[in-house]
Amino acid sequence: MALAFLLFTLVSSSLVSGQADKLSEYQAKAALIYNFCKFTTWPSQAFEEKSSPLVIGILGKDPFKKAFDSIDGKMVGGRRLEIKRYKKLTDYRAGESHVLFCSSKDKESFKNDAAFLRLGQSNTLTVGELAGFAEAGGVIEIGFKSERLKLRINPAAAKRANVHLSMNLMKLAEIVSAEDPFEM
Amino acid sequence: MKTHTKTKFHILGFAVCCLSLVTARVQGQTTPVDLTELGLEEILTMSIVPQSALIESERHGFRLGYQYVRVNFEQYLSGRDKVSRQQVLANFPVVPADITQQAHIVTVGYEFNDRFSVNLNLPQVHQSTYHISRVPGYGEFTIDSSGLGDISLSAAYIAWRDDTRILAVDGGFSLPTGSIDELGNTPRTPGLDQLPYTMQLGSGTVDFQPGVTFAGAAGNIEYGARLQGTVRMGRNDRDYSLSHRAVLKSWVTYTGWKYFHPSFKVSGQVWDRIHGQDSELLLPPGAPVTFPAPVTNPRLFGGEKIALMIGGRIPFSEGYLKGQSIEVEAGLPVYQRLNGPQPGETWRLAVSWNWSI
Repeated sequence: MALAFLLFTLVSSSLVSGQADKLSEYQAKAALIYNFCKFTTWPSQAFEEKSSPLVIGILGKDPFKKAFDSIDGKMVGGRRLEIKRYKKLTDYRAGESHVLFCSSKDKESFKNDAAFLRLGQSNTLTVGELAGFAEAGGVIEIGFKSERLKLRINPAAAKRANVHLSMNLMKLAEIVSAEDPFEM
Repeated sequence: MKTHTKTKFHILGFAVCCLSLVTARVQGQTTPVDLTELGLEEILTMSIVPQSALIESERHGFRLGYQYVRVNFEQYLSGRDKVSRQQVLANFPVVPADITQQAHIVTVGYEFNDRFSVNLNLPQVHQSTYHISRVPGYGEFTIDSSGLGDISLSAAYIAWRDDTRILAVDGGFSLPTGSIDELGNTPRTPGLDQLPYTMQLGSGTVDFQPGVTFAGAAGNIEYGARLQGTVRMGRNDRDYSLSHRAVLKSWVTYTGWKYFHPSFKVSGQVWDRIHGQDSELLLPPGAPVTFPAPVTNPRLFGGEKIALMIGGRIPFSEGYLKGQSIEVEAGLPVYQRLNGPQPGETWRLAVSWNWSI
């Protein structure tokens, strides 16, 4: 009898193994950030050396869990990807990361525009998930609607941050503002 | 028979808590992939499991549940062979012919963190047995018993998990809060007599209930298996202990529809005889037989059984019912080998409601 149940369990497992898989929200966002690295060009001064890594920073409570495990250490544009985590904005030194993901769980850090001002012109591609992140001065906002991720890009903020986004990335996003809200 | 059905009520209640816990853990989770192989357009067109679904499954707090279980026994079996009531009546003066056991189980659970939770089960048991007899004046009669059953306390710990699968271990104790002194009007002696094991409301012993559960999710399918044991700790005040028991359950649930998740389960169990004996159930010395009914003979308990169950869950993920779910399940045994003659199960029904607060 026990054997029958073992067989049933195995059959159940084999039945489900053929099912189409879904990505979790943060697996998908991690994959997007990996692609952002491929479709963004940083100025040479953003890297100390030719062999310096391309650093992805995660600011606030890390919602990704193990999603970056398969990305950490991969090569993009001849640079090794490195993941760094910052508990709060004050732990972050401007320019330390080339991509800075601002978690929606860290709303406090981005309540005022000063946070973006601090990141401005720091060769940092800011990526956020808070609604209105792009309008507020972030470069890329990842939204979520009807089980799909949506991109919103603020080109002016990208220009201010001194990062160049490929047209292949831009064409997949909603362009939210042509003006940089912090331009003097 | 009471031993296996009454105990089953505890097992069912406990298993439902554990199963709801573990399936909630994996519900909506996903299979790991090499994320670097995914292109931008591909990611933006994929259907994504929102984090809110995962947070929903990982939040801490109370869980309330109610479950109604009804199990019916009619057909006598000895080994795998059917035995008619008349054949049983030839060997025993009284034959329980139609037995219905019902339990209303209230469950209160609390999750301390993502891995550790505790559950308290409060069962109200009602049992009714229609008898036929060759004792003059007792040709047909029905006896009922009802009241609080054995309260059980348990704790579950998720020992391992990845994005889509978990392995949980749990352990609990069933406390002897149910009566083992239920009386009724039987033909044994004039007046009220001690009722057989099957009509008592509790085991009378502290019972240890260890378990291990593996559950997973892939796409729109949830699957899992659970093994649980019931170990009687010593004998009760009437000098017997009910059957030790092991239950293995496996299930598959389809979650692709928003409002209804159909499920298919297989459960198998083995249990042994009653150990010891309630001497009040025996006929007086000199009587032509020792046991007035098969359910008074401790040796005529135990066996093995496989049952199939189909049902489904109605989850409420929005509105004022958010966090609640209703589950319905009906089952039939497909295989029974019993130490008999022993009444075999004919069908069962379970309806439950769960609420994560």
